[in-house]
Amino acid sequence: MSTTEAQLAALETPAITDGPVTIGAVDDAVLAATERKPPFIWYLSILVTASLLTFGMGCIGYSMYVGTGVWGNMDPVFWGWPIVNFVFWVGIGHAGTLISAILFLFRQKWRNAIARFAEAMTIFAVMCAAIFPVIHTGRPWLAAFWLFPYPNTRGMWVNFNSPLVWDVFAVSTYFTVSLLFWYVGLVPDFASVRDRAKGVIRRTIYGILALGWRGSARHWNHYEKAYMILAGLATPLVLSVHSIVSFDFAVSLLPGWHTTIFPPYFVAGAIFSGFAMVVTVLVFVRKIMGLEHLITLNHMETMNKVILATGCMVGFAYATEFFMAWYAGHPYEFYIFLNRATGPYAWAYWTMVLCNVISPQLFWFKTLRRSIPVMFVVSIFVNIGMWFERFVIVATSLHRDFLPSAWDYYRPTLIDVGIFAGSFGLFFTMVLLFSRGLPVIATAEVKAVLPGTQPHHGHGGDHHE
Amino acid sequence: MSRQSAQAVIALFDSAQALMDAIPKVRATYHGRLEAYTPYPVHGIEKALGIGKSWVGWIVLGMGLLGLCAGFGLQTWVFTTEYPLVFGGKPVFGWPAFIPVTFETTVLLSAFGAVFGMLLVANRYPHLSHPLLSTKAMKSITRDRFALVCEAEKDREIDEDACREVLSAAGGQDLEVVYESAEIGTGELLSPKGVTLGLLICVIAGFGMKEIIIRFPALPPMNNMDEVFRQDAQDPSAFFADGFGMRQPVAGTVARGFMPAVFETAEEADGVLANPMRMTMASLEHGKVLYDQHCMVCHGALGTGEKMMPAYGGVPANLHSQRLREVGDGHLYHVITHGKNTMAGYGKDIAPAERWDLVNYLRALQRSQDATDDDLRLARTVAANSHTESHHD
Repeated sequence: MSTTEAQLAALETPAITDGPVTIGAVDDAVLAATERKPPFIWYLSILVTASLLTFGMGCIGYSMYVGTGVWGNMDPVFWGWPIVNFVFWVGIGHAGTLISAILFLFRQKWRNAIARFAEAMTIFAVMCAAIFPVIHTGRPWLAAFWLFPYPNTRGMWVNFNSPLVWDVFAVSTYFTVSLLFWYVGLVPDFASVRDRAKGVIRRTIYGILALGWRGSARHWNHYEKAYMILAGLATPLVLSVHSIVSFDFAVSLLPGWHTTIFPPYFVAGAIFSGFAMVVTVLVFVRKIMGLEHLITLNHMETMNKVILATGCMVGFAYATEFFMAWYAGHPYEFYIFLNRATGPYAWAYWTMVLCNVISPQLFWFKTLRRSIPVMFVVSIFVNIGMWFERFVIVATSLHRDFLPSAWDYYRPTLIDVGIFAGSFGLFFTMVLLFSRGLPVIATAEVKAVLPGTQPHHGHGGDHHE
Repeated sequence: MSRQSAQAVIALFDSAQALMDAIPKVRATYHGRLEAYTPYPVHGIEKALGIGKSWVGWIVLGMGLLGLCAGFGLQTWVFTTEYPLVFGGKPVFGWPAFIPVTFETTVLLSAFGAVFGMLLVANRYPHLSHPLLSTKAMKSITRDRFALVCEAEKDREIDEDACREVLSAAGGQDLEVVYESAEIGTGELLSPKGVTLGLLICVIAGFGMKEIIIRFPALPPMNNMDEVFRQDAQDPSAFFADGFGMRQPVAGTVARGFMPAVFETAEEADGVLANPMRMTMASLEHGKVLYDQHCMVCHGALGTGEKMMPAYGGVPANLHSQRLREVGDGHLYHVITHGKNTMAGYGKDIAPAERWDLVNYLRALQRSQDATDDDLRLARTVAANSHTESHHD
């Protein structure tokens, strides 16, 4: 009997915190970061990331001044780094919604400590992703308005049969809903920051952001309902976004793209890369901001388990793709896949396999799963591997088309590299500003799941609704 | 102020458990409006307080249905009514392709319903001036303590002493009373000092922006080729010595289809300039069209020159005169091109190849008015075989 109880206890989700934490101490640990001067390393980091961002902006400016011909996109590879980077960044965003919405619906309490950060990363990642389609249009100062409202001077309508139109709807809906979800979660925390504030300006700014939130039971009643519905809406939404991004490829008739496995394969890859990016960033954030007792090693280990699981799914998808190419007996299809593994881009393909399929296998071992240096290195590997996955899909399917006379080897230019580096600059600058100005942990959510914070009488008292 | 009216009495508790234990005790004796304030959602509190289930879900349902109908309706209307266009041989109303966009609009409007329905409609935010926001208790409510508050109904006041008694009996601590005249939550901003500062910032920003605009006039980075450097034909040019923007073609340039005349007079052309146009039915028919357009008005339908012009004093040539029947094709061509006596030249109006068609027609016209017996016999044969003839040529 006692062994069963011990086994059941072992199956429980990991403890929310390391050691006992009072609910007031959560505020002191999390919200105080917005009040004190940031450490020196913060200034150093933002110097680096803002410089990267400036460099990227310069490269974008140069592209606008000279024309998009300065990129490597050239016959036959017209979809080069911009689409690769777009898919890469949209994928990164998926972890945030998965953690905040799907794990919420599965009552994974440990997600409360990392949900806020992951949601923020979603929003920043989608912003980074948006750069590429917008500058791709050539005149981005107009493109910003092309998306909405649509200046319909030709009297024509968009083609609603086109995945590229679906993409616009999917990504912009995703961004909007993620932003709203994030903001709804932030409102009670803004109220906490407001009521801690010493100065008038600080109190006013956070007071306006908090909308006058005062934690009334009637308001929490509506709040929790709305939050649950939002989680329920965001769950199919996040699955739809990368499915629709994969339609950009899958709906075309190109060998290597025209495959029905793409939607689930893209979604698994997106969650895989997103979790890796969350691990990469949190390894530093929890250390530098002194949040190791709230974002615990248990949380990191759980994320590594997700990385292992999705990594295996991605590996399985690679194998399935290859098998189907052979099994379908379509010579062009099989040639493209053979060309991926043995052709001029074999180096990229095997980098992808090494990073995405082999490196997460380290996480089968508990000691490695709980080792900060190992998880950092693996998460970087996964990020690299997932970028290469998109590169392999785009470049290898295009560079050798049906006419051998048109075959060529695609190379990016320095400007391509600069814009991509600039998107990293944007992402990490936003992350740093976020960690400075907003509560990086959803304090109200963490308080609600700390041991002993919920009354015990009545019904259960343990479930979170 | 004679007497302040109490609007609310706040009591604080140290744990959610203490709050939940206190609620039934208070409700047993106090029947006014009771509200709890907590730093995080406490489970079961809505039942203890007698709050009904949240109805936010109905707003979401309504908005979701709106998004569904709007998304699907827009695409259906566009593809079947407004702009029907076949893509890839698919049916105009290809509804499976409408699913992704419909799904996104449904989710988007549902999310709007959830967020704005909860914040703006159900909870009536933003409410920055709520009296509770400026209480001392609020500072601990958003941190780690739990409040039970006896609140006044709208336009009424509460019995302050009774509330104090009930709340302390239930274990409430740090009792605080909120009066009507309580300062509003973000009152600092609306103080005279705050308003003055705000106005000052607006004025400085406004003047500063004006100065910036004056000092740095608009430098559009891209003007979409609204202004281009080009030489218009009628503009003067500082570059060329003659001051004209428009240049003359290189000497000896011949435009296509505008071969200049080589011969000075019709007599020179006569017999030298050869007719390149075969006398075909098509040439004759086109020649007749041209004749009817340009020549008939003076020379008459039959070319005798007798009908119209003499009435006005003009004397057009009779195309059936001995002289004109004997001149070569080149002569006629030259006259059509350059004119003769009072007749204007038609070189500008009729292309060279067409002028030869006209010459051919004139030859046919001349022969028709001066036919021999052989011609008549020939014409009968031709008319009899006109069917086959017209097919031959």
